[in-house]
Amino acid sequence: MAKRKVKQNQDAALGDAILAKPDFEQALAFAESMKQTEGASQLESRLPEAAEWPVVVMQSAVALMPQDAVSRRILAERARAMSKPLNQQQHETRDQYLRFRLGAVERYGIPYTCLEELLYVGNLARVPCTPAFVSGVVNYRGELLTILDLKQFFRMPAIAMSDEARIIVVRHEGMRTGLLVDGVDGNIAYQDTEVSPPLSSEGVSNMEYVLGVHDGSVALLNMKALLNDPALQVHR
Amino acid sequence: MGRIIGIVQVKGGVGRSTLATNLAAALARHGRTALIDADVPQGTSASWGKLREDSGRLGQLTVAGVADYRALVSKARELVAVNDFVVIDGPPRLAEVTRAIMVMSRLCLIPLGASAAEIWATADLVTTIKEASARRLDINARIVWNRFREHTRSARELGEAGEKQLGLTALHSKLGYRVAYSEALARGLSVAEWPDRHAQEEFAALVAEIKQQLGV
Repeated sequence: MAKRKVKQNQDAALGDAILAKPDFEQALAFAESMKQTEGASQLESRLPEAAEWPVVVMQSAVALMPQDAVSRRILAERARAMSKPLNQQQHETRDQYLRFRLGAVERYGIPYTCLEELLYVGNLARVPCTPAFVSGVVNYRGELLTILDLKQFFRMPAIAMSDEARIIVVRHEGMRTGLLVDGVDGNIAYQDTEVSPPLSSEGVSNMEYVLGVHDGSVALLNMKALLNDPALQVHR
Repeated sequence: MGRIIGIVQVKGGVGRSTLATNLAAALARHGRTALIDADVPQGTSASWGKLREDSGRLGQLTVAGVADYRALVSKARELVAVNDFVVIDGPPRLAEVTRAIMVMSRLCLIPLGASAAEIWATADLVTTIKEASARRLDINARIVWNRFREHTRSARELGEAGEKQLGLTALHSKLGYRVAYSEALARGLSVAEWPDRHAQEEFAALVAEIKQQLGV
């Protein structure tokens, strides 16, 4: 039927229906009439039987196509997967993290989802009677933002602050804080599968704050664990 | 009211964006043209448009990206009112977007390489055309053979057999297997702006045929 119709369109001048295009309401209705999922049996029956193909195709195309039951099932599954709407398909997700340095060599990463802003270390006001890992507070858009010295917090040896030092403003579940770091290296794209679990070793004090290790040496920080640390909770 | 040209294919990597971008660039030399990239987030056509915009080559061309079929229909409605041509680059899926494009388009182009896998993939589009036809919706679809090696016997035979099997007619102009298409695309150019005379000529012939199909 479609074949005949298409032929007619080609032979005669364009039909009235085609000349009347576009009809947006029709297009919407047809789009919305799509069946969300089709049964496996329908898809399988749509794979052409070898006998239905013209001789030439039999010689070239179908000869390339595996005909056994297992292959046909795999092809049907593939067709089913590809016919799903986009959000149901499995996607490789690539996220990004911000890589930064603590001390001269240690490299850490903060997932982009927690990241708010990068600040230069400006007027950092020390606050008396606070733990050593609280560097002080800064005026951040009219609010006081507590700055955490991650080196102190992780009990790493202190080094002099250089021009490259930055404050990374992070936010997790409504809690916002600034992290004082010794330098920011840039954005790194990564996939969950590339992150290996942290190796526990003695003498490492910050293991519980590490999600995993990327690229052999970058420790991705677990913001939830870090910001929920009892040491940071003032009201408890 | 402008004319909508949809480019659909459920298989990826058959040259939808190549066809869409080159056609849009060519039509923009004849009239106000819009290119809608409905293959977001991949967005090849939109990226091409951005490159073109950055180099100041857009001219009469507008490029937009849409994320779903509702956005597509409303964007098409908006752009068709102010353009002579609206080229829509579809996603590599038989999704709502693809169905909307097929019904909206005055001419629906299906790029296809002469390989068994691509011909099989197109069978799904044919099913959709039949479904539309059963609902009294006319879809004016044409195959555009792409990456075609005219001189090989298997390509010719597979091509003819494919048309017969699918029940779709193809445009006479075919696009060859040429580096010019990917090189031009990567630079925000069209093949008409790329120094490959064969590519320029074959694409110009295709554009002429498409304009004839559109009755312009």
